[in-house]
Amino acid sequence: MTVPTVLVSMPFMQVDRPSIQVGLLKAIGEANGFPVRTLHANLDLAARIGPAYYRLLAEHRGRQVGDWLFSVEAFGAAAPDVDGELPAEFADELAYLAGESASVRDRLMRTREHDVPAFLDALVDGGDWHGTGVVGFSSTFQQNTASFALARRLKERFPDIVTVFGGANFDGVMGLELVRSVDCVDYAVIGEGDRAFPRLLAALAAGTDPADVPGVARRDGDRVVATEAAPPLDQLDDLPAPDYGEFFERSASLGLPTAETWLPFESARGCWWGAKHHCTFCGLNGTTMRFRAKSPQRVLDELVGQARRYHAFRFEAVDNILDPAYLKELFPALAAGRHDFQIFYEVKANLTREQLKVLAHGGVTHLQPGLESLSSGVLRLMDKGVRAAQNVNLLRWARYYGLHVGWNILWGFPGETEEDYLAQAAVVPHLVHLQPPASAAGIWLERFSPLYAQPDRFGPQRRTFEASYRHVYPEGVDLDRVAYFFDHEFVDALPPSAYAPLAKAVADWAEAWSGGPPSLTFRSTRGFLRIEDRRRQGHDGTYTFHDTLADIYVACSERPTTAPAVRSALGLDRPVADVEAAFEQFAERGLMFLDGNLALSLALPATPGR
Amino acid sequence: MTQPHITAEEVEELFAKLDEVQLNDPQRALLSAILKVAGDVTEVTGLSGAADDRPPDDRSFSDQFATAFTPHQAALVVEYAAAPQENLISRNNPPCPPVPPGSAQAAMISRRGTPSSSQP
Ligand code: SF4
Repeated sequence: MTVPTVLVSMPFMQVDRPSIQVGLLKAIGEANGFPVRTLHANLDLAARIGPAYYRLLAEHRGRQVGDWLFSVEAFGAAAPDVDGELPAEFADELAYLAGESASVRDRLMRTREHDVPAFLDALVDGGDWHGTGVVGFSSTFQQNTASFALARRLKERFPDIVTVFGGANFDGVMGLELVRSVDCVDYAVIGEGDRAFPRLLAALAAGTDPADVPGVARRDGDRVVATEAAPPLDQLDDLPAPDYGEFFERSASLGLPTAETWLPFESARGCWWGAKHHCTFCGLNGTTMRFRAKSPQRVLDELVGQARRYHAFRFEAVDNILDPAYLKELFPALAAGRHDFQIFYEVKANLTREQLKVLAHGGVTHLQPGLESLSSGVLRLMDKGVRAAQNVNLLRWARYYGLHVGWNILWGFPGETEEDYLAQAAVVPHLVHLQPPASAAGIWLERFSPLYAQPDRFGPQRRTFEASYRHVYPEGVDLDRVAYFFDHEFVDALPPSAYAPLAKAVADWAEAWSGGPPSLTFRSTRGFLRIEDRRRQGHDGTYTFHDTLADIYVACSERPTTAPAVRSALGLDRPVADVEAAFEQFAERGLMFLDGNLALSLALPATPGR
Repeated sequence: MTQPHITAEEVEELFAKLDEVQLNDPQRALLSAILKVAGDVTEVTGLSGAADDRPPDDRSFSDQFATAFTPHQAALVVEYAAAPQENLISRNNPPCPPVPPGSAQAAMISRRGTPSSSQP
């Protein structure tokens, strides 16, 4: 017997790419003999309220606005904020969402009271739900209440439908609490669903208790019955390629453009760095940090197959961190095969020039490295495993090889000092020829992060769930167990004014790029170096150096280097102190980045592509 | 009007004075370049050797740094001053692209050895 199943991706999943979660589970379900449809329902809301407004809501982080919009439909009379206090309480932060409306509250209330109910009605009335046995919801970030709202309506109209929930929002204690407290949740998969999901469908088909399946939980009166999850999947090569067909069909029928779509693909799970040194602020990979990766050949085959299937050349890896093995096999193979892909990857920031070159030649065009700071002291506090000079070097060679870098500066780590931030603010004007960060802001305290999970290690702190959660969930839900983001304060926290100079410097950096990127380039030959400095309008100029100084500068260009290493590489008979003095002078002119004993030349070679 | 007679030694002395004056990098580079042009005008010499013959720059690092920067606004003067020694430059239109060896006859000014303090 089979169980006709629909997997739904609700708002506020992004509109410009399909959900890999439902795409993969559909393929897994079908590989196991279960008919599975996918419903990318987030597209319907985007079409209804307009993709631009939808994108703003989907990309909003900080306050739980997306979940608040569906809260009344999800919880009915039990919803906590029927009158709409949330937009008023956080009016300043949310003002940018107002659009043409008189106030952000007006706009959000209209969305909540008109668009959301109409959207849900259309989904229930217009969907082919008859005969559906299971409706599954994948929920990450602000997809919870939209999923609950649809589940609630479906169960009212079709009482035989069984609902199954999963996704990152159901990891660990969060999932257990949602199963306990939200009526429309019949079952939840806690942790990875690749094996639990088809086994759960099989149990439903066979009439056995799905809660006997490892990783599945259900409510039993006021308690939760759950079977411990099986160890996470090791052989990712065994997974099928995600099925995105219905995403493209629905986008087309709604008139939403897909030409710019980046197809998500998964080549690895977990984090090999986090498994050894969990970055203190990182709440990713809640219960499954162990790193596992597909074989390079399997990734190559999947990219080629998906490109042909969906006529796409743009791919977005959903991995948290690049498998270093791909630098030796996957990307050289992509380059040798002359595949014209554009690929996005998240990477650790210690990549060398050669490695960035391999990535660029292999089709990577967009990188998200975990840079996070321009201070080695702060990077040490966050257990990041890189130094600031390595971060700057990544930005340099990424620019040289034409890679777009998405990154952020973070602050708010226990133990940091005002000097850490003054020093960063002072160095930023020297770096403006490199890609600016997308933002510079305080960390969020995330569940599962060491900062959250190890309060003894990081000093006493005030900690409560982020304030807007209480406008979303009814009283019976334990927000300490459901929340992912927490408001916090460490005892030795710096005042906000400590970060103001860096925030200003970063804003100027972004501004400098608004009229096209500034540049700092050099040409060199034996004993002669000319640096063209076009970083600041009105201060452009040329530096010329000969002989030893020219050689020292070029010796620090490939990677961050120490004075003794430079002295020995160049065979200088001057003392190390002379080399260090040269470093200082270069740095004073903004031509070098100094980081403890490391020096890094900041100019890029004017000759491209080497 | 009679022109005051300025010798090469006087220009050298001016270069030396430059080291005593408090200037920022762009100002120092520009003044060095102007003095170098003056030096060129005071003395006409023959073509010098190939660039490889240039002695290594043995000034202190800080002296070299002090004159390393040339703001782009002053680039014309400084480019003139920094052009290779063997090239001849027309007085009417400095700076100009290097002229081929053998056309020295037409030149009004040729370069001479540069005082070390103006060496970029
Ligand atoms: S921030 Fe990135 S590198 Fe650090 S533990 Fe998280 S996923 Fe791993």
